[in-house]
Amino acid sequence: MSGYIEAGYAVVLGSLALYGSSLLLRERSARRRAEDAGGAEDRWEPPRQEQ
Amino acid sequence: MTRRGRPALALDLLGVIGVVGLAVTVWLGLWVTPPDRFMGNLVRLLYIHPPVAWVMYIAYGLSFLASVLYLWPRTRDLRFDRLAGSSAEVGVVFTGLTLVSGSIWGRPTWGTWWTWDPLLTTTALLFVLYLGYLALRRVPGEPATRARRSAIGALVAFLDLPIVYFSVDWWRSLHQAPTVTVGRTYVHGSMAWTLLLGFVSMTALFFWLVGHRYRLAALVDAEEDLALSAAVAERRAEVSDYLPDGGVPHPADGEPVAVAVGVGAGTAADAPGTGSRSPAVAAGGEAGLAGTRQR
Amino acid sequence: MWRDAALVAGKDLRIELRSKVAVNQVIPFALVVVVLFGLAIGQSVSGRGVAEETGLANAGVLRGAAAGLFWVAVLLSTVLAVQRSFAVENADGARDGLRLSGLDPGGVFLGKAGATALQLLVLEVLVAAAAALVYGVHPAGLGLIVATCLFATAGLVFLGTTYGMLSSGSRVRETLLPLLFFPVAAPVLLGATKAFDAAIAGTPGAGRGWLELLVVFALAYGALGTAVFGSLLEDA
Repeated sequence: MSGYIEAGYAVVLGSLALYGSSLLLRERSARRRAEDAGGAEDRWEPPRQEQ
Repeated sequence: MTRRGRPALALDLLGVIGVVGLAVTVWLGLWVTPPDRFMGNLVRLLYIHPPVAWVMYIAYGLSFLASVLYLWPRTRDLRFDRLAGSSAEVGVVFTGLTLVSGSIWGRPTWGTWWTWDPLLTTTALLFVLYLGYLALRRVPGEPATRARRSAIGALVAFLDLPIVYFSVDWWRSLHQAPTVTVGRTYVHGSMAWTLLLGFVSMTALFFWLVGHRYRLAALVDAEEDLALSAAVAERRAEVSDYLPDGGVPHPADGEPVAVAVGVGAGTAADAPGTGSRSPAVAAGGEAGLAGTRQR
Repeated sequence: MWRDAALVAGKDLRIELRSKVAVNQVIPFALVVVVLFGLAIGQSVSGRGVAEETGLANAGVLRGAAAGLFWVAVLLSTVLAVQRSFAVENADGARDGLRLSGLDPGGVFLGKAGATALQLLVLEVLVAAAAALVYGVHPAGLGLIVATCLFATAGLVFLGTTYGMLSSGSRVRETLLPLLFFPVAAPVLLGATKAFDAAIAGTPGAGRGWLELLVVFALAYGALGTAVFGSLLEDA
């Protein structure tokens, strides 16, 4: 009976930890790529009007 | 938004609250609180399963709100679309976890891994529903088009939620009264506090995850924009190679020109906050033109 | 708006009358599905003697499930019908023509939905007859059955046309439309099946609540589709 409880906790918390760390890793690599490419990280400038 | 500005600190704070809160919840839930009179030790899953389900509803509600805000002309901003997508993705994760934790609870309680009770069935439908929404978001296209399409998709999906819930509920009535909306009146003392802590921690964790997912989306969009500008610059360089000097209209201050290269470099309908393309294009464009002129 | 709807519906129906795709492909598809369900679920008798009317050992199962199987077949056919409805717009820049024609987008939505609904209703009559025959069901409560068909079809078609427009511009539309459509259509499947069950069992009163659900669904998605079709048309 108790095995289910531990399994439940482990699955939920483990999955959240997995997802969270994958987000952090992808964010770090995306940030590195953006910096390499030209450093336009999270800068938001309104697009100027096209001619 | 600078790297270490206030939003970033708030995000970190949320993460800390979430993780620490969860850790305490686990400690309380597994060891400190007593077993329930009726359910025995199974009540310990109650500290995890309803909070996860509750977060799922927040996620989809937030996604719906953000989609509505995007569609409303006065608040049209691609950032809302990004928020809708991030919230929905995290929501799908939590939906999957709701299904799994509900199933794990069901096995010892009712003897089977799956029961067709209303909440579980509704959750299963929601899972597939929002997987479809995420698939819709991935369909390529102009940012504005993609955002509008996704927002409408979110409306269609969200409109279905109450209908699905009521229909499935009429169909089956095994499940106990929803513990998320109606407080369980016989949960008291340390159990009640642990449950509350579970809700708070999961919610904090949810917002932390959405924040990071949002940032990731923003970075990916910025990267796309840069690749786009680089491609436009390359094309302009190619074109200016073949035309005599002055054949290509020369933008005085480095503004990107609407050259017919088939690259939809944004229309007037584009929302503000799409990300900067002009500086990179200007740099590339100038380099290309300068190279020609020196010949 | 209604006049535009009638115009568009007329156009779609005329195309169908000339090309006969629904008649030649979608209806046979639905009939095949009905038979396939019988193959999948029905168990044959071992030994001689016919246990039940239709010759299958678990004919009772098939008979009990007949309503649900019918509606699953209808749902599958709806996806095909909607895809066909938008495929006719892909040829020769017809969609641009639609956009520039100055027709009210809500009217276009209702017109396309209406045409598809009409085709589906014809399909339903034929498939219901086939299902009643093959699954050994004795229809009753005709009023409830007809009302259910009308409102369920309306809801499905409103939803399908909205999603069809949403996915019509993309290259992955064949797989995207079913994925989007089926989860949202689930309540219609549930409600229509339960209403049919009530009608067949001879207790139409029990089906009234489900019919109301179908009406709500149809109204909700009819309204939503009419409202958003304009922007979807612009984007395609």
